[in-house]
Amino acid sequence: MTYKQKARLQRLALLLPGVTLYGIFNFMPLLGLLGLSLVRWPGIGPSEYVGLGNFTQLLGEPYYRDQFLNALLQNIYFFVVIIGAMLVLGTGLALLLSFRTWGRNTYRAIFFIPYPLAGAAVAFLLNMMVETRGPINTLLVKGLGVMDAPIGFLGEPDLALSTLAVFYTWHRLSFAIILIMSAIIAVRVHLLEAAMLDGANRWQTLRAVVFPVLGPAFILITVIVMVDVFNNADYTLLLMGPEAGPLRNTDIMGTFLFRTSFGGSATSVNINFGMAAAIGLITALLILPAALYLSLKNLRKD
Amino acid sequence: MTSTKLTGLLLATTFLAVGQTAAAEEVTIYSWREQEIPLWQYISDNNLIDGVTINFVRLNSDDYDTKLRIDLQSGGPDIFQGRAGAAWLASFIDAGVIAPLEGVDLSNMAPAAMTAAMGADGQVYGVPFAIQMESIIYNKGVFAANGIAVPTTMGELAAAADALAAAGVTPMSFGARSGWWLNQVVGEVMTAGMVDDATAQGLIDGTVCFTDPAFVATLQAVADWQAAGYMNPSPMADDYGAMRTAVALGEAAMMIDGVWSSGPTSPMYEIDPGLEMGFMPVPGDNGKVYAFGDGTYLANAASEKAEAVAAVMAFTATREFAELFVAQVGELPAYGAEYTVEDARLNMVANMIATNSAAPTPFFAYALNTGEPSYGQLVADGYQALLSGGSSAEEVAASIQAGLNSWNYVGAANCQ
Repeated sequence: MTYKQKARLQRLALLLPGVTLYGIFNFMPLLGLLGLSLVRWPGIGPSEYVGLGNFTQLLGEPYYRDQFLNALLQNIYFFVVIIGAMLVLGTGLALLLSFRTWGRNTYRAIFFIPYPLAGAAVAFLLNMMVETRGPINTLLVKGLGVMDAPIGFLGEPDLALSTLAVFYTWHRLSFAIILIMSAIIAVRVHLLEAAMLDGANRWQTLRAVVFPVLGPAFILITVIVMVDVFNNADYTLLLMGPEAGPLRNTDIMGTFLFRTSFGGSATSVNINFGMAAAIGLITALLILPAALYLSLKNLRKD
Repeated sequence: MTSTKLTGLLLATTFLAVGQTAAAEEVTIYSWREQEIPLWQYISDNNLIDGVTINFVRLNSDDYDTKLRIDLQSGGPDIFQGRAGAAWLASFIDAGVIAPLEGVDLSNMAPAAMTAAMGADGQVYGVPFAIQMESIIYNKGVFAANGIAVPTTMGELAAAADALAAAGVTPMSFGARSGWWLNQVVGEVMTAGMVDDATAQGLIDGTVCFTDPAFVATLQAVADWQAAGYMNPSPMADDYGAMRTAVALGEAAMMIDGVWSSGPTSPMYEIDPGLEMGFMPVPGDNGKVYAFGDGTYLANAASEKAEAVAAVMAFTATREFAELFVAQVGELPAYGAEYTVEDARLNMVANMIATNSAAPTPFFAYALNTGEPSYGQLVADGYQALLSGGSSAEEVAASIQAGLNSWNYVGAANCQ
């Protein structure tokens, strides 16, 4: 066997496990989704082939189109709030942790505590915090007396989605901190020394030497969070239910999809896995370009 | 020596087990109702249905439909509980999962409960299992402490609320974050209390529009309560659980809720074991409480244990089952003939249902809930818009009407 053949064989052997797993658990279901999006099927019994009917209904009928646009716009808002908070707070905290601050190991432990918790646990824990009888409202109304009535963090149409975004950020912030910190550690020490010798102060050093190195970490965080918040809706589903109340103000793509496939309430009559598949496909198509662009940009830099 | 004993024991157990499986067939029942666990345990343990043991699987109410649908794709349970009304039953009928009920004597069931089991074609698909009442539920202790007599007119209700508010008690607890509570409880109880039965039936038939002053008045009453400060300060922030907590704690005096909250397994007794609850209709012109069949036992047509399933279904329509239901679940069964109720609270509820309940049930009306947006969804959205200050009662009524018109419901031509 020549060296070239061996190399080729090795490449094949290394790729095979990953490709197989990805194929079985990601690619084949994706193909299945294509088929499913062409039928009307309530999840039980026979399905009916409707061609592109689900897509035309979704984008053409006002009842579905309004829900779709509402969910999409709110999902974008949800994403922007989360990614903004994660990058700003994540960078700030990662920088603080990278200085030789007193007690930084303790801080690090505290920041990382939420991350391993299950989403459901975090959702219910934070829900208890913001309830009308919860500690935050008790403090505002009875402790400090700055409010007359408790704030309905999850009940007010204007506040609910932002509150959920805060929940998400609190839970996943340490993920951003970890990635940003590892990028900071990768900053070459001699560059920092050179900057200091040239007379740069701490802020100038950060801006000119550290921040440029953080770019790839930012992009990685953005892509992962984007894929997650456009596909999953655990907090909304757990706390607000599939109807995404109040008044659909916490509706995002994941809840819209769930409601379409399983129904939102006892009077949901139009249950259709096919349309849910169509929603999933359109969501994937919408975020794919952004995700690809960012990932490729990252690859090229390396 | 010990090992011989052990082997003997093991052998005996095995024989016992084999003997049992040969004699009894296990029927799996899916339900979202935690309160029925002791009932079915009792039936199974005491062998009340010949040759059948029961495997009662309780699923979370929120994702009951999800899990049921997924499990039905691969066989599923032998019997499952369905929610009331033709709208819910429709997709299961279309899929052939359930068929019109045969061989079960339903002549003794309460007529009011039968609509729960009826498909859009008017055929009966299951055995209804409970009659629930919805009304204003008040904390008797709070009423007594403030010298409040049970109001019998809307004016008396307002006077009582003023007195309670002056004493620092929230007169009416609202959990408007829970959409299902708004459409399934508030909307129906307000209608039963304020809209006369003929008009309410007209709403269902499409001969009366939802913009009718009688219906608008139900929405206006809720808006007025909020404006007058009779409600918790932020009703949209509290959910159903928080609403019940406030009444159980005595921070609030009244709530609009179902009689299930006063049953023996109600979490309200965990807050105050000595809590006593009273029931009264919304004291409007109609002044009635709202009663409905809560749901049905449905047989999976694909079950391989047809005989055992039929035996269980038949048993749920008997007087014996009805009396067990009262004793073990603490709710009223859907049984309509004579049976014994020893519990005073249930006796009173049974009496209110028999003498003073409204028959029309818009929430379960198939004609209002076959298209999207359904009546149920429009009412939940409407009340949330009303309580968050976004819309007036007239605007909410108009949006309910417009939503129904959008899919040409039965009254669309009449109510443009």
